Amino acid sequence: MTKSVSSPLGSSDFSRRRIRPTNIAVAAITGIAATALVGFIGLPLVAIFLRVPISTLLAQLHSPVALDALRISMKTSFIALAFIVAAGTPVAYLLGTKRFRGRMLLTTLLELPLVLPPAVAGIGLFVAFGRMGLLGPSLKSLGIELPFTWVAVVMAQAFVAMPFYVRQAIAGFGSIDARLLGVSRTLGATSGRTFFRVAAPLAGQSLSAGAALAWARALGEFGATTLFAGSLQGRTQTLPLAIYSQFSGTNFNVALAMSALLVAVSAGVLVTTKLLLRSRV
Amino acid sequence: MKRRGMVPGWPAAARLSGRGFARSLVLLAAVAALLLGSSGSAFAASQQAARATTNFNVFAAASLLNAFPAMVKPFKATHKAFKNVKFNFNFQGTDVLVAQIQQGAPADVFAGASTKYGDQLFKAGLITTPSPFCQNKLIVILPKSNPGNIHSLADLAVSGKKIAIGDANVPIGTYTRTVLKNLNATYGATYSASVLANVVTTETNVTNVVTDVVLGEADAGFVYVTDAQYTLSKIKRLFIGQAYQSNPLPTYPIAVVKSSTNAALASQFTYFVLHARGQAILKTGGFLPPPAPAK
Repeated sequence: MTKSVSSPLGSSDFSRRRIRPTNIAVAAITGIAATALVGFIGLPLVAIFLRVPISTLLAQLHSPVALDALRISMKTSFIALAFIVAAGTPVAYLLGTKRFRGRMLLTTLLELPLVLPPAVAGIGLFVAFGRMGLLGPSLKSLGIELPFTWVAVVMAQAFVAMPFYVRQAIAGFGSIDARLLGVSRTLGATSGRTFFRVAAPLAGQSLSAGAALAWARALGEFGATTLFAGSLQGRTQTLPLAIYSQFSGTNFNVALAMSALLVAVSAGVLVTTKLLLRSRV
Repeated sequence: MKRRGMVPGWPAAARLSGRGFARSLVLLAAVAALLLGSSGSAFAASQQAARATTNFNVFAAASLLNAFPAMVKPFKATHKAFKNVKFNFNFQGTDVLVAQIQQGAPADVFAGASTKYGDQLFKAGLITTPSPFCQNKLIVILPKSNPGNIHSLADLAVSGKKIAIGDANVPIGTYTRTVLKNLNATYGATYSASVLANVVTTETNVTNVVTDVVLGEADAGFVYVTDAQYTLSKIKRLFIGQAYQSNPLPTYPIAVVKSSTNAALASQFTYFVLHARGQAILKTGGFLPPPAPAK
């Protein structure tokens, strides 16, 4: 009876829809829920920027503690990312394109840090790699002591951020038409060549999106870092750690400024990720 | 056959006709509203129940985490009116407590590790006049196995040691830096700088410094004598002479938070802490009595 554009949800020609009580109720409930969610998520984020003038925030970002934290965060998160991509890509390729016994188990293991509380990750790293830990004595004999070093920060960040990249990469590699890979091999390319010239470009957008998410997660890591690497300005104090240390009556504005910075960076990463994944069909 | 609402591939029973879809949405929303409503009223009921069994929130410095809980039973024994009160302790570095109270966190009593923070809250009109209820001293603790091979305060300045101290904003951190400066008098003008160069972590409360040492990851840590006391079996101690302690000694203020909804209980608890019964418990924990009031 109404001219409708064919869509799975029925008529999208709203002007012709009959005003019925159920439709009003649905619209009202959805509207309320949307407002509540937007408020709940949006208010804390916006409030960070409204507390003090932006000029104050920018000025605070030039304080030594903020600059040191920024430098440490950049250095450690990018190194962690490099490790994640270098180690995670081959494994994701294997898990995404080949079937073998134990595949499910390995995938689950690599995804575990995603649901593990970061504090638990920190304790785990501690009891495994600490001076008195499982590998402590062996590392000590090699002259390596990990806790309280920037390497420990990188390890903590890589541990929690790894699944963000690996999951996306597995999905990316898994969505490649297997026949393309097969054809590449039958045409004489080695598996290495197939990977670099066929698989990686095809999965490129997923890999980039995964890397962006993993980097953002590494940047924001707190629980595991504080337990395993400690907190020392200029050596191991990343932005989240600095925010926590400056959360006091006298230095609140510095903490606020660093928080605002992280909100802006996280938003930027998320938008970039969405754009990267949108052009995928 | 293509009819409005049919999604290719879906079984016929699940087709999204306009009327049926709207109905199921309304049903879903009704269920959600019911759940939200019931959980909301359950929450409100628990809040009311919480008001009926009073929740008493004590915001206390981290170094009080053994002494204060020990006061609950004796307090309730002599204050039968409050025997159903639920004591909740929030132990943090004093600066974090201050920030929390400034941001409106629900606190009934404030007990900090530094008069500076007590005065700050009092000036801001957030607490009643703070009263000092105990004092403390600093000490260096080492892991029982002494992995850093430290035998005297002088060894702390030897390059390569891993030392844990408090963050500069936390009372223990401020006191530590003062003590280090005082130690220059005996160990040389560069002592303080050398020790600080050996610092591997600046913790946001003293309990974390204790943990670093007890777990053996740090070679040494600057903590309160009261912290050394309750971990005696796991650590070695390096005493710091009275002459090097900060002057005045670390002094702990206690006060009722003005926004408290349990003002009567709060003043009674504060009185308890400041007088014989509470003082005895603090003494057992290793705390020193508060300074005598100036005449």
